[in-house]
Amino acid sequence: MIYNSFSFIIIYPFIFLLYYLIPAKFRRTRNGFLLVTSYLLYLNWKPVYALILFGVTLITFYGAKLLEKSNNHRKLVLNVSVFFTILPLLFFKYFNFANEIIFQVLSFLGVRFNLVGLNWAVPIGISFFTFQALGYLWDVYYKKIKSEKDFFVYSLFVSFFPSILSGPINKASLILPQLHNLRKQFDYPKVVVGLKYLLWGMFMKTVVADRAGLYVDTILPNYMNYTGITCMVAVFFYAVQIYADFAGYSLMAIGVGKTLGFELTENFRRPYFSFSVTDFWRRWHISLSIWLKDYVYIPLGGSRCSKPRNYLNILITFLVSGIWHGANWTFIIWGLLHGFFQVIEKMLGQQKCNYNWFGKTIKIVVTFVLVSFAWIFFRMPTLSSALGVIKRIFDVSLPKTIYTGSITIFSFMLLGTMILFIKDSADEFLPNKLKFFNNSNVIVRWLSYIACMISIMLAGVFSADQFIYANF
Amino acid sequence: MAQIKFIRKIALFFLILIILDLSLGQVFNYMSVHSKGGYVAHHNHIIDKTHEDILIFGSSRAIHHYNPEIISKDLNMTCYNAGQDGNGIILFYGWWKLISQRYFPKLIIYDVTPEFDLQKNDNHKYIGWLKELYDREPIPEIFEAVDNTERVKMLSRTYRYNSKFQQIAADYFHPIYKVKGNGFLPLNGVLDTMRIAKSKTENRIQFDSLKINYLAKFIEEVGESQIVFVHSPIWYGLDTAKLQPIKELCAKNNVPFFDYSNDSEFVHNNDLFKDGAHLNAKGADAFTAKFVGDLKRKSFLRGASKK
Repeated sequence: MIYNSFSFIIIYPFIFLLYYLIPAKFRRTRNGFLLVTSYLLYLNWKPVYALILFGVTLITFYGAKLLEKSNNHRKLVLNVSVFFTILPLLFFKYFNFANEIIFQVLSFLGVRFNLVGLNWAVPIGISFFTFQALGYLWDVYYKKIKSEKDFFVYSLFVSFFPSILSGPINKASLILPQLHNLRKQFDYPKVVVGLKYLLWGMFMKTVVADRAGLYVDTILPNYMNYTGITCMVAVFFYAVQIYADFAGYSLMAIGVGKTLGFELTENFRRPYFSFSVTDFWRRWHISLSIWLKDYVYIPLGGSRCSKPRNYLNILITFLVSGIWHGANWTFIIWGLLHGFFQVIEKMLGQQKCNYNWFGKTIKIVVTFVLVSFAWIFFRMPTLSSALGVIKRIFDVSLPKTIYTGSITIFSFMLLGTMILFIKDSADEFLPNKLKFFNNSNVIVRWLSYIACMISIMLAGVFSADQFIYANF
Repeated sequence: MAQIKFIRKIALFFLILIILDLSLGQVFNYMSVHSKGGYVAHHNHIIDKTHEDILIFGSSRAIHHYNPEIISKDLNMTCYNAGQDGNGIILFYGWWKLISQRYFPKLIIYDVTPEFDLQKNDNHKYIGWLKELYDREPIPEIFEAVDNTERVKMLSRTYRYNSKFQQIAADYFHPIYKVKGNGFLPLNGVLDTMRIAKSKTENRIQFDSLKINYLAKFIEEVGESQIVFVHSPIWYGLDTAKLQPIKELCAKNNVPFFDYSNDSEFVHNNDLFKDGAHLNAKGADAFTAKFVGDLKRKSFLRGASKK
């Protein structure tokens, strides 16, 4: 379910009402209602792909049970379960990419023949629910948790509708106990916090991200027609767009979870105030970072090994991150760039920040520039177009002018970005002083809610189809 | 009880929101109706005050390409340029339905831009300037056709000014864009070579049945007016496959279609263009004169009528 879609605004109050009409003591009925709702929403997209969701659920549920029972062949059971769990993801997401590479290799060897590519839509949320289910499997393998006994509870964990589309990638140890415990009939403070998250997330998505997207989508696909400075401005606005888009989505997902009495994993913590790329990954897509750390980086040896091996582990981890984001060389380069930046930081001892406010500001700006530079590979469809944008930015022979399009629209985008910047700055540097939604003064608090809602109605873009991360 | 407290606060929140929504809607409506200039006054004029013999519709390529002075002088008829940036048939069909409640011009010149008039893309952007006209029939039908959830969104008076309120406020207090008396907006300056480095190439053209359906309805419903479709010059030239549906529609309804998309006088002629898609003032005058000459040769214009 797309949170800024009209269908969500219509359907969600009914889900909310029906859920709270079920008395809290009927825990299984409440869970059953959420499971049916989650599957109905997923079926609504492309019915047949719900079979994949169900298949991944079945394999990991019984795989974990087998893992717990077997003593001698645990590794084999794990590998077989992981293989079958990851197979749909590999098939749908990476088939064409692998096909293309094989084709190129065959061409190079002079034994070129056509292999038929897939022309199917990738099942929505497949990367997210597959990783969530894999995390559970590995947690059982490493004996961090016991395998789940109740198939319906486990099915709800994998298919839970607030997070199935684009995460957060929740840990089983966080969600399963909440599904087993009796939740409050109506947790008023939590529901209110959830609604605040929903409101601010909606603002970030519709007012900031989608408006920045109107500018970015004009410039970057046609970068060859614009000056280097315009391309650079578009790249910085893409950084704003993807943050407001994905963090906005995550806030809405967490908010929806809270309104139903659930706690989901925090996914963003003001990432553009990071003082290093290493710090950035502690604040950006936190649930994926934790997943990669727990199931890729640490099993590879983490930092408890020689320095060269540690650097290689970082590079491999971010290579996996790149591949997870998409089947394209651009994502691989993006992932490797992030790995490379972190290796350099580690070599120079720059992962932490022991400087005064000025030094810290410089580090924040440098990190933002590095991250924005890497976003070029993330945004552009091909390596050549990404390199084209970079070449254009550094081409000093081009005129030093900025294309703004309609000045009223451009100023709108700037205003939305400024509001987001002020809110994030307040949360980062003055957490107890400058408050809007959580202000102790009821008038300030309510004015903030109303201003936010009116801004969405007046300036929100409601025609954007998707959240960027729903593509992954 | 927590639930009662929650319901009370939610109800209060929505009550405040509804009051504000209605009030802001009234304010923007007042500013829109009383705008001093710019696009908003231009739109008000097109819908409620035009009386010219010839009306020109189309995207920015219409507003910048057709000089009504030349048309008026050569054809001895009054002319108004009713083009609008970034828009196509969905907006112009709505405008036409309102205009035709007042009068029928002798001739309608419709400049076709394949991206806005024929090809598939997000149609929400074309109803932007129709939102404030939602109370007037038959505008709601167009919203229904584009997205049936829009009629629920239109319950909000503020949403009707979504993304447009800054333009409305600017045009009320201090209009930025100066639209001439006849609607024409010539582009001054010469071609910026930066912006013509490469045109977009599309492997597969996807046509939009909704847009084509509205073009067909427009042709059917011009009543006593006559209509001609034109593709004005473009610096890059054009893959004419993009014009196939409009060519077919024109042929079927015996409507003239003038195609200057690959006219050698204009294609790649830097002197006549402001950018890859738009003629400059010199180019607009040259094109208008050429088009009027071709139009005269067709010599099919009838008398106008008023309701």
